[in-house]
Amino acid sequence: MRPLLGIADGKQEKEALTFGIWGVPGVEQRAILIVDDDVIIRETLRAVLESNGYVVETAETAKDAMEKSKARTFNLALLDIKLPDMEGTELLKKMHGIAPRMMKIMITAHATLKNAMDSLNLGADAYLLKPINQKELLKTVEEKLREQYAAESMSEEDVADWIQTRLRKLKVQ
Amino acid sequence: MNQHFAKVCMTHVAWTIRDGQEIPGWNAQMESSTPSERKENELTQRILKLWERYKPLCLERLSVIEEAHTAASSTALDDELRGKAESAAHKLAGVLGSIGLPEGSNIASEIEALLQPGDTIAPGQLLHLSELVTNLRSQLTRGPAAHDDSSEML
Repeated sequence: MRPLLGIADGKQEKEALTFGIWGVPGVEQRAILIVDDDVIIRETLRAVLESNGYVVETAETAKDAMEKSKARTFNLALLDIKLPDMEGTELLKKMHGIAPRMMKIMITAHATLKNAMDSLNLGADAYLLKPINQKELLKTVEEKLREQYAAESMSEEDVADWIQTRLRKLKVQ
Repeated sequence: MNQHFAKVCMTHVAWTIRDGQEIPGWNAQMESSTPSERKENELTQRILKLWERYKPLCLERLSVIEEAHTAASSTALDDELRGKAESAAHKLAGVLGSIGLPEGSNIASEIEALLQPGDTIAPGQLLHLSELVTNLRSQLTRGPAAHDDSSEML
């Protein structure tokens, strides 16, 4: 079965093939990018995710996150809604262009719940509230990666439908 | 795997955690637990190590809040310091729960709400702020416990 590679973006397909993720044989671990300006959040999230078998990279700024996302493929990114150099919602939009297939989960405090709702409208796949509950984090990450895998395993007809839905979602932005 | 070798490895792991400081009961716990319990214990120890590393940063943030509280007590709290203290409280609210101090996170959230810009801090609120700051310091001094159920909070 043809994996759902780079259909929305040919560059992404090339990148994914180069780095051997997205169902390419030989790669089992899933890669996650954590973007948060607070080192304690970055390191605690890293500890939990690494202890559950994920490969983790971190970024302190939006600029760093975009550079890392261009350099390699991540299955999923956890994006803080408030970053020092850019609003998280703005980074979310840019990430859609850089890595359309990557799952994107926004992280926010209660005070910025409205931003979280806005980010869902902008195409985020989910959001988590700080302080983050460990079980909730793992459940959400696993759920989104399962969705991604399901999309990857779709038949050609399903793929066409999925792309139409995704494009409509992105056009709304 | 040779049973003796496994035991030696577990002991080594226990001794290397927390910069060589042995954690009471840790060896016995490691030897008798299931793989998933071991994974959970290892994560708890890793979070505790992170706390040791970042406790000074949390105390630094608390000191900004304490400075703002002192200034507010003498009606000398300007917008700049208030903003810094609110930001420090916001950050603590986000991270303390992640490092095994959910109560500290709740207290920091309350402080953040009291320090919102604009409104004058009323005498009653000032008293409450004073209690909250004391409680927050107490939480940070105590730190998370290895057996704390709050380890589920990140």
